[in-house]
Amino acid sequence: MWSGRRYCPDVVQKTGQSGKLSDRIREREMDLRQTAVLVLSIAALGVTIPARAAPPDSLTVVLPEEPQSLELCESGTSIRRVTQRNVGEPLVFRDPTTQDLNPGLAVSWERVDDTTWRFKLRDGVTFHNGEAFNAEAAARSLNRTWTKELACGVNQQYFQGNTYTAAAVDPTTLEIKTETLDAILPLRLSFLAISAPATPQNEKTVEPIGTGPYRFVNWARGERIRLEKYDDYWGDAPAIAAVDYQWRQESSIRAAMVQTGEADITLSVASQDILPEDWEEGRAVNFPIPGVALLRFDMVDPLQPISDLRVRKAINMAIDRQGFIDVVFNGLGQPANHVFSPTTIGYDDTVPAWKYDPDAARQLIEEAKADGVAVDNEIVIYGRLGVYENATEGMELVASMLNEVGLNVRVEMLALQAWLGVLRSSYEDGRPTNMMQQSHENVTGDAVFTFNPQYASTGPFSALRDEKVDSMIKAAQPLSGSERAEALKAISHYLYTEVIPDAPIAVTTSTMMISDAVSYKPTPLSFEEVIVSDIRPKD
Amino acid sequence: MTAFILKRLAHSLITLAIFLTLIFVFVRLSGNPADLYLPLNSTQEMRDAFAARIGLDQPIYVQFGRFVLDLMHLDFGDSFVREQPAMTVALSAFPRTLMLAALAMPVALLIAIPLGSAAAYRPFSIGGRTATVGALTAASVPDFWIGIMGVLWFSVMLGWLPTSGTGGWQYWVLPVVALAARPAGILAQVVRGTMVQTLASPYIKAARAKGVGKSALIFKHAFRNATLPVITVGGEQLAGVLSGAIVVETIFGWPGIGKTMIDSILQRDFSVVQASAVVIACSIFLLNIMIDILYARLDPRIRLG
Repeated sequence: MWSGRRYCPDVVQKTGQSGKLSDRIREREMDLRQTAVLVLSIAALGVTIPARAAPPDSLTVVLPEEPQSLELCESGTSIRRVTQRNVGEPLVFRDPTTQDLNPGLAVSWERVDDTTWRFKLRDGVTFHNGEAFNAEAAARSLNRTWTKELACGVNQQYFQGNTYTAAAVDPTTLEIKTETLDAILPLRLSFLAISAPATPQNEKTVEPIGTGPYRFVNWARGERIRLEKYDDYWGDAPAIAAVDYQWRQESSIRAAMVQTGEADITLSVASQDILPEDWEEGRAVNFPIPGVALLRFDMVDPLQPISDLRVRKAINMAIDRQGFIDVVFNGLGQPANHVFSPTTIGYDDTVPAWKYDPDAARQLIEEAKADGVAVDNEIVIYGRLGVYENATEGMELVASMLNEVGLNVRVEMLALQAWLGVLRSSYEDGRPTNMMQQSHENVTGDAVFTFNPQYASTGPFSALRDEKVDSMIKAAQPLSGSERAEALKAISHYLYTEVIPDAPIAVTTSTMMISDAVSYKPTPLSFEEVIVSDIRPKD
Repeated sequence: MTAFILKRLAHSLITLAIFLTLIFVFVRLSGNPADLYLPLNSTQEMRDAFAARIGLDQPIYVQFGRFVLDLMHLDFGDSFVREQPAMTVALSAFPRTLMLAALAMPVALLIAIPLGSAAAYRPFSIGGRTATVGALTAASVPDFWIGIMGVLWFSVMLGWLPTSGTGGWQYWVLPVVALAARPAGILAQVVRGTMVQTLASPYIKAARAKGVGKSALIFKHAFRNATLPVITVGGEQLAGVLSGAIVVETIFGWPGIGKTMIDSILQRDFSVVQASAVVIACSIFLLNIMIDILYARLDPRIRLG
């Protein structure tokens, strides 16, 4: 369905394939260039042209924001973009495309009993400071991350609801005990990079020491971060000797840096900042990410008319998903019927796609109205500014689609803090009937990481109080393998065909730009993990 | 003179105290840093623990009391993001902005004075009208637009200048031009207005009647008397450049105090926001005192006191 590199169809149609128009545009561009050269060359006497090609052995990656930290136990996207699998490595590597778990710093693992896992560790690995990697070092790093007082992001995001303790059995055998059964501990561990014993145990650090192919060299605050190849790396030596990270908030500037050769890779580029030739020549690459744009219904003691199943179905049928994708995401994306991407374990293929059918939606609303449901009650969409590109326009579009079929919908766009405030207090009496604009990203490839926060009664994003869902999630959590997949699919089926707690709209994508000097094939996780070893200089 | 400076400093301290109180309140009204620093799915318990770690679990009056006490020791607290003293963060970023402003203002003056003078000498000629429209345009076009267009033309299309970042002199050109354009436009309008008045005054007519040349008439006789309003507005513009370089610094990835402040606001790093605001405020107070002194030096009718 997705290819690694993709042209922007809109842009190609407007400029590449319709010959006359494109010729005129090119002629005009040439005129402008010639005029500019003539006028400005006087002023530019003596100006030297900056180098347009990066040195082949060093790489510049330009990020949308400066990392808040470089601590290996943190989970923020801006941090992981620099550190994950570059500086720090986990015990288990996960293939983001196939979801397979592969050996990392651990070569094998097994579940000994319900609450014990044993990991055989890789021999001959050293940390960047020369310390040896062994079971003692791994246990120390894991226990540090699980220390509540340190408030590590990885712990908060992937290890909640259980208690974990690691201990060395012998130099290459690590044992992890859990309070209750955790069937997917290796998957959780794929997000936790191991730091060196020299790392302060009770405080966070900005100078990470890991085992990865690149070692941290320095961080000039506000300017750049530099990593260099670690000569004693246990795996294959990377092709790039050093990498500099810079950051520019403006997408147009990031794009310009790759276009001019000042940078080799940049992430999250807005489609309007990409030139037609960037698509045509493969510098711009769009790829699917495990994120879904959705509208969450307030289902806690639901207010009319959302309390009525027919209305919730009507909302889903009234949204023209492809139209939304075309307008909001410039045609880049796929219509969604789950709140996670199709590659996630637990995705149920038998859930029918929502067909855009405003007539049928109108009819369902009429039926509900005839049965006394207050379909005229105002529904507020609490939108979140900047949650994805064109977020405001997207919600205005959805509201107009819903009003078209007879609902009374109003949009209120909020900044993150205010949006979180509404989210966390949206169950109070007197609130309006509402829907929340969300973008949910499940980078784990396992649907439990969606079900728990989104649908469990205690989930931080959950507006659903359904005992059946709670018990199904609880029953699925200890399972593994095909049993787990089937149990998770059953939850999906129940949620998306019988409960309808939300309106999934689109599986989202991200666009990155890659300079002519290097080659790189993005994975679904490339929006938050750019593994520098996967980047190769072009011949 | 000393009495004047002490008096201005005393006034400045009162203003600074009010300003700091407002900053203290407003940054806290902007929200809880835990919402941005912790994962979105963090629990209330985690958010509470984080608030306690950075001292935001106390009632606002306790936080304010601690803030005032620390200020008396010139302690602005630590940045919880950078884990450095907040004032160190602000002071290390400030020279970059100061250098940018120090280059942008002379460039603005070098453009504004000839442009404004030309517009004033023959206001209804094609050249005069072009200069007036040019000044108005420069004063009206947003700096972010100039910045992005500059990158598009001079970096992407012509390849003459780097897009952004820091380094050799080439890296300064686009940020300085983007920052200088608006002050240049405003100052050119001021120069034009003042020069029109001055050129119509009797002593200029007398000089013209005596056969004084065009350049000497403008720059030797008229411009000296037209300087005072330029200094006043130039000072305001310099203060605006110092406090308003945020957009230009953000676009060009320039690690100045504006960029530091906006990053800190976005991360709710309150200590750095407060320290940066104090640094900018103090620099503007100093600038104003310097302008007053300069004013008195240039115009003997003005006495400080």
